[in-house]
Amino acid sequence: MAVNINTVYTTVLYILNKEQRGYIPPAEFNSLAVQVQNEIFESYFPDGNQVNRLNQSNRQNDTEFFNMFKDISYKLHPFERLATFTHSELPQARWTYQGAGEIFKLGVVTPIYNYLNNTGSATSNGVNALGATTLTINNIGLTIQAGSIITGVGIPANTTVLTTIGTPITSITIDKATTAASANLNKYSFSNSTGVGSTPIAEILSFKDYLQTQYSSLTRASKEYPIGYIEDMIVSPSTVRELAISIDPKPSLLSVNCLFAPTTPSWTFTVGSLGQYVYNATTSINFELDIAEQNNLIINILKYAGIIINDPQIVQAAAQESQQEEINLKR
Amino acid sequence: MALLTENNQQYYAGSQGFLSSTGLAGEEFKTTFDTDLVFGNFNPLETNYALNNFKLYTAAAGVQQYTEYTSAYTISNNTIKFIAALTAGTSVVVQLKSIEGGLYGNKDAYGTAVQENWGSYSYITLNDIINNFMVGYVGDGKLIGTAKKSDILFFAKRGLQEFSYDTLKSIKSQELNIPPSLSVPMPQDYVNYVGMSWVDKAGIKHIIYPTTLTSNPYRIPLQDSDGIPTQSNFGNNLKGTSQTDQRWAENNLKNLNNELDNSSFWANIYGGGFGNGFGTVGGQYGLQPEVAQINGWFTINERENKFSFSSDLSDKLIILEYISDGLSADGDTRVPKMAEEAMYAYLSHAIISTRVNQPEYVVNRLSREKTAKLRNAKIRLSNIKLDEFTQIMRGKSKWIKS
Repeated sequence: MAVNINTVYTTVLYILNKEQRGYIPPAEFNSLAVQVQNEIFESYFPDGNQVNRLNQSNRQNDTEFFNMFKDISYKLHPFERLATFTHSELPQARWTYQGAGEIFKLGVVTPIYNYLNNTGSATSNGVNALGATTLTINNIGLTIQAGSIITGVGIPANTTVLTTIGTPITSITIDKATTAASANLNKYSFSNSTGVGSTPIAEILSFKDYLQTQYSSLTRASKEYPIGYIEDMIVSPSTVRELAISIDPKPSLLSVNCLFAPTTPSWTFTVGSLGQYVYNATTSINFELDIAEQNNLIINILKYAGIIINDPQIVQAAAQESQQEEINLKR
Repeated sequence: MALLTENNQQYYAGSQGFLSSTGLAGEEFKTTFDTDLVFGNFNPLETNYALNNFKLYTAAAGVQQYTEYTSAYTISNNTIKFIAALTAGTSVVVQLKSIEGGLYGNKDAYGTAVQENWGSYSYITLNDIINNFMVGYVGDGKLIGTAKKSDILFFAKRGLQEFSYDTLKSIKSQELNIPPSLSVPMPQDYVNYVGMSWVDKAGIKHIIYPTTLTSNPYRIPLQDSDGIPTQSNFGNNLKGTSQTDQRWAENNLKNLNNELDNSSFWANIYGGGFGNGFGTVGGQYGLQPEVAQINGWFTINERENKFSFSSDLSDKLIILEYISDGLSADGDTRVPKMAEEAMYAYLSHAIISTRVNQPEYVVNRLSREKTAKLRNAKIRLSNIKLDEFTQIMRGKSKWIKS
């Protein structure tokens, strides 16, 4: 469960006001909230690595609630989601994430290889332009699934159908922009992929290891053991550089278990009749961190608030509290 | 959870039945064979129809007469989806192709899908070995904290190769006829031979031995009158045909060992006229065991990558038993369950021993485990049964009279 931003803000204000130590306006609080949320989020990784040493040395406890490694792993749950990547052939065959949210880390990469289990053929109606990515074909007679391989005169190798299409007459959007003029009035064959064949785990390697793995006949990529690498490049239709994954062999779909960066928390308000700030629950964005982090959030925001209002006592008290908690965690 | 997912009918008859209940288009039936359905096309007139490893039959409600279903259907992940509606109550049978043709329709589902599945329970696939190893041996708190799957894949395949050479059962063999050229090419997945035999009219094997009496020269340069190899316009040595091969092929083995023809009644019985005549091998200084047989000889012609046979084997039926490395085809990449543990031990040792800073006592321990488990696997796969052993040992007390 997420941490309510109003609870944190009001608690921080209570403490600051009670101690007569000043006031943090919403804009400052929001900045501190982002900073602290990111600090806590990013602390999970070195902390997780550290407490995992207990697992590695076989000294971890097997209790239900006091296993710190499990505890930290659990705290990542609000950020862990399965992301479906989108394939593009331009400029090279790559997979990118086009969905909402910003990927923080890539986890397990699972390509999905569909069954090539339904074949059919159909004839073009002769209206396809040179270089078109849309192909109009008559009387297909069967549903063509996205990812199906289409072959025929004028169609480049490994061209796939981008969107699922129905029957009987329809046009197909294909993922190559290089259909030749001869693509008109020809017969096409489809390998219609309609079912999930296998979902292996792809190994993401450095580019050097990727090449070396491909060179060995024993470890070369296969549908059982796909491999890939990541790079940063501009992939169509995007115009900015982004994370792109190359997987061999080319899957029908690509899912990646990702950690997403936390969304920016925001305490928003309306102005009341006395000019006071009134919390607006509708437009506010809560912390994404787990509810267990509420105390940490308050303490760490207080620490920064102490810096802002130039009160060393606040900073010291908050820092001590925060440090004590960390020591307990890793002891 | 049980590992068997098929019932007896699925395993032995290769068939699974369903009953259409909805009477609606798009009805689906999921098969649960151990064998995945391979689907090319539903239409017998299409070329890809021959790729199917099954046939689909239907029978109307209350009627036991099955006919092949050749209308449109799709297969997805072993689920059959009928495009058109079946009448409710229609019986549907999926018959995997079998050498006998199955039990339904015209009983013409000819193929080997059923037979290929028989006995498969005694094996585990290499993929399962790798996945099991990742679960059981790799992870925090285990000896192997982390390992790249490609590393494990490499060592697993190397392990399977090594096991194929000296531990696993040698099951590969080819039945071949010796052509007039007296040579046959090496099998596509050949690594080494286990044995070569010719088969008589009774189907009994007679072992053929390799010979050192001749050999197949690897290079045959054409020489000029001074004995210097001559070259082509491209600067390479010109090659001729081997006269050694030719002379050996034309050799009458009766002249060699003064022996009866190997197709005679006395074939494969040592004795007779071995080494009796002067000029035959062993004739002057006594019998040489390596040539004291009349089954014929073979040589391995590395120049042409063929097996070459002596002339008395012309037109004979032979069986070439050989070993491969277990990786030549997908169906080969399986390990007998008797050797599963040995494979895990091989992988553990291979991974730990190739890493730096591993305690040597751990490496040694794994090495000993690997050796012990490999020995166990060899003993298990030797198939030594007490009753069979006893029967053979009864011959020990047999008196041999001169």
